[in-house]
Amino acid sequence: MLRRVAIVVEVLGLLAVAVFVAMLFTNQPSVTRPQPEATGGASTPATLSPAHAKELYSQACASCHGEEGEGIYGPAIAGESSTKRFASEQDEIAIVTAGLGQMKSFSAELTPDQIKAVVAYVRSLPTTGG
Amino acid sequence: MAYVLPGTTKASRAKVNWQLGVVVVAGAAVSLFLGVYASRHPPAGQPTFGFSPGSMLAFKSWMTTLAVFFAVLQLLSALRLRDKIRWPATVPPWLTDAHRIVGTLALVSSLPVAYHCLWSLGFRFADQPLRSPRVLIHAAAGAFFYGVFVTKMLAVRITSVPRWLVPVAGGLVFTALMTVWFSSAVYFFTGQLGG
Ligand code: HEC
Repeated sequence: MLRRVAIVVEVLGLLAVAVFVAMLFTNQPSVTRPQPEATGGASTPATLSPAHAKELYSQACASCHGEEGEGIYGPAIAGESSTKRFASEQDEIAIVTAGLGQMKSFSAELTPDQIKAVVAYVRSLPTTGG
Repeated sequence: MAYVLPGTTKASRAKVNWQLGVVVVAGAAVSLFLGVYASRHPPAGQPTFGFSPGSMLAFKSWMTTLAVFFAVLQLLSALRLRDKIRWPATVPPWLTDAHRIVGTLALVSSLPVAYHCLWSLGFRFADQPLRSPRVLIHAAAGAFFYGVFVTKMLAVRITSVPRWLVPVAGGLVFTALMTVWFSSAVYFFTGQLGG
């Protein structure tokens, strides 16, 4: 009886492994690509509101840098962690646009305006983490 | 059906060596594949399975802890099957099947965790000045875990491999999982990783 259960569980386990491998290759990241009408051409103030920047940050950055920018997998970037390291906001925008080490480039995923807004957002956060 | 301990059937020395080579190379290939994938696949950088970024790490930590719990049961049942511990006094007839089931559950509970690590985070050794040895140790132990798991599974099936192989591989599976857990979930639970 238990032998049967073991075999069934093992077959299901193998199936799970197959799904795992298939998803490694087929799953595409959900892109936070801007809606064309929202950002086409010059940005409207609405798309760059602080709330919008916060949302972009949650979707695109928080998984690695933490919801508060305190750093998880990527380093802390909230407030002074950013402003001390990048005196010029432009330099930080360049890093996010081009990518750095384990962090991919965001140029395909976010518009320049969105990157600018997200960077401004992290620089405005209260400094947390190390 | 009586349980045949792996490594206790008679086979020629050449055959034993050949099979030993196959199971070790198969495991090494799995570890290598995971390492190559982690370093080549562009990290998706987002949570998976509908989790918010904040709850993703909690989910991963608890799933890994669940796998560790199953792994402890595996260690104990393996020790009993090999008479290294004498409790219970007689080996319950269902113990080998239970060992198989719990082992599968341990593997399956680790998969969603590894999926996020590999697909969403990845590992760039060459172009990243490593921020902490934790990340390096964690990545190596994770890749090693699945490789030695495969070696162990094959070794259990091929009963003419050397007698020491299954317990050694099993012990390494356990050690690798504990290393993975100590280098991630423990940091999360003690507040050293955000989330
Ligand atoms: C896949 C995880 C990941 C995501 C998603 C991610 N980052 Fe990063 N980020 C990193 C890592 C890892 C580093 C460190 C890179 C290095 O030094 O090699 C980093 C570095 C940085 C740095 C430089 C910090 C420093 O001290 O060197 C900034 C700024 C930054 N990220 C901002 C962002 C922003 C803004 C977003 C969202 C648009 C984002 N990151 C999304 C992983 C990520």
